[in-house]
Amino acid sequence: MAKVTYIQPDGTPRTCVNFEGMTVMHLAVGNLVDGIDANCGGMMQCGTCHVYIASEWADRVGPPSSDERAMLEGLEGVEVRPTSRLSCQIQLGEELDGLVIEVPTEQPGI
Amino acid sequence: MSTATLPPIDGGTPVLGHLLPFFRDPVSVLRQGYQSRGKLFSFNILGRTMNVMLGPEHNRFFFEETDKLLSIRESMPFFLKMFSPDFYSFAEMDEYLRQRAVIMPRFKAAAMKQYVGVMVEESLNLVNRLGSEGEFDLIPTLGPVVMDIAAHSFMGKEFHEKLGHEFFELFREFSGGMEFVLPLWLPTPKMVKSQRAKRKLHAILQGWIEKRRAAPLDPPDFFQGMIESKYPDGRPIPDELIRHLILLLVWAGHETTAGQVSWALADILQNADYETVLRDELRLVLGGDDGSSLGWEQAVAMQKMDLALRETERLHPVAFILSRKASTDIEREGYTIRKGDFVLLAPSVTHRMTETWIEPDRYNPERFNAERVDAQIESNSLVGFGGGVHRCAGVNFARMEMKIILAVLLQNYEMELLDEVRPIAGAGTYWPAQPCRVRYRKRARNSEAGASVAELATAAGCPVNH
Repeated sequence: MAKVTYIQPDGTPRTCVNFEGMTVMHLAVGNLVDGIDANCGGMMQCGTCHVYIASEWADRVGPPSSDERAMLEGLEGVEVRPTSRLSCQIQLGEELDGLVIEVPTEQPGI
Repeated sequence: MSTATLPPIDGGTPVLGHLLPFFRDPVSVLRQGYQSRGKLFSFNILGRTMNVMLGPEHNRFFFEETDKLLSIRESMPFFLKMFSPDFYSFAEMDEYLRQRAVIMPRFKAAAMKQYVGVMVEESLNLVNRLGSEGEFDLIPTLGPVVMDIAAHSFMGKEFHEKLGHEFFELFREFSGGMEFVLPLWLPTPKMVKSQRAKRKLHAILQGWIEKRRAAPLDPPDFFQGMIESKYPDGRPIPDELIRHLILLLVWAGHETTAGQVSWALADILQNADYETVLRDELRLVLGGDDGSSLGWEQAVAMQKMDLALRETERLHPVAFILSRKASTDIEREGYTIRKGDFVLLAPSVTHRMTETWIEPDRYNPERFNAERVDAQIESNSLVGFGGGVHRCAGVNFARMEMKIILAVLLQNYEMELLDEVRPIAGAGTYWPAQPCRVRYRKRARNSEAGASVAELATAAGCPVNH
């Protein structure tokens, strides 16, 4: 099991449980978590599933791949931080049980 | 790098390999592989090596490596024949992304609100057709309802009303083109029929596209939206592509959901204890209503029904294998998978492994109840809708419509199964075999009202947004 807590843009937390083959993005979208758009459906092409990993989890989640980093660096109109990730690129596993994700107030427009 | 291949299973002949047993009963071949070789094994079909991976860790590997070490594009050749080489996951990457951008926003969980009304209406139409008592066969009865919901949702109400079940028959023939085992150039009767049905379906759809262009529907429904939608760069979407997209949605949504909802009802009717749990939940949510008052909030509040649907997905995954092709040589636990080999996940076997599940053959929806300390909810263990970036785009739609069909049937009828339930023979989508008849009789409903929207939201743990 991996329980993930999303801090939604209005500050309210939502905790969701994954036992399917989901990424951090799928789990949020399937549970109607506010603020993650995922317009491209998880193809690392739109940047609208951008999230911040809580700092205590950043090491465990790991850094973005070079393609994902390029995508993150190209995002406009949003604040990209060292803990930024595209949530569609984080496949959930047991080691991420307890993960805390901060959802940004804005996603990039396309 | 190791040169050992995944342990091959016994049997098979020099040229055909395991073609014949796989053709007859694929799940048995996969189960035999697990029992005799464990979580990694291989078999052979006409000289092609099929590498099978089982269990949550390998599932995760498979999802994470799709579009990297593993390719989905070459792994489903029948798809190419049913649709087109420029279409969807077969198109060039840029084009595929543009096409996905058209589809994805329409299938988010939040977008489901707009389809709930159609799902309820078509389920109540079934109740009207069934009347007060009688018998029905699962697949031939629920299959057309699923098709009605897809046709009504994606092509508009009038399309579905005028074409009726002729469309359903054409689609059954079109679906016959889903060939896992035989070479696709073989002019088997079902391939010939499939191609003929495809041409007819395209001709019918083109007529409807032109009608809607001449007289647009206002406010627009899904079909009107598709006709008028543009790529992100502003170019209009070609008609041929619209036809393929609509066919894909109706095909993918029907082929799998018809089987899954039939299994779900059969499972419920074979487990009286859980049927009672579901009926109690329905009484709470809908009161004595026939289903007409069922809306988005009520559907979201049916959490026991969610658990029941997941348990059916576990026991009877209609997509019983998922396939990819190795893009390069891959090393896995000391074995080597060669570039060009097929790599398969087998939900049908993975979902019943004793390493992951307690009493795997027993129907027990509460195993998925995350609030229980003994919940069986390991990540990547339930994979009936796939996983990773290519996870089924229609999962939210499918789950919502199954919930609604089952809720409306349970609310209106007492039902019992008349036949033994068993899977179809052969390598098609894993449906219950026919006949699988249900005897039904209208049940007495009281006049109490269901819970209010605010009560439902509290029960589901959501704050109500005003």
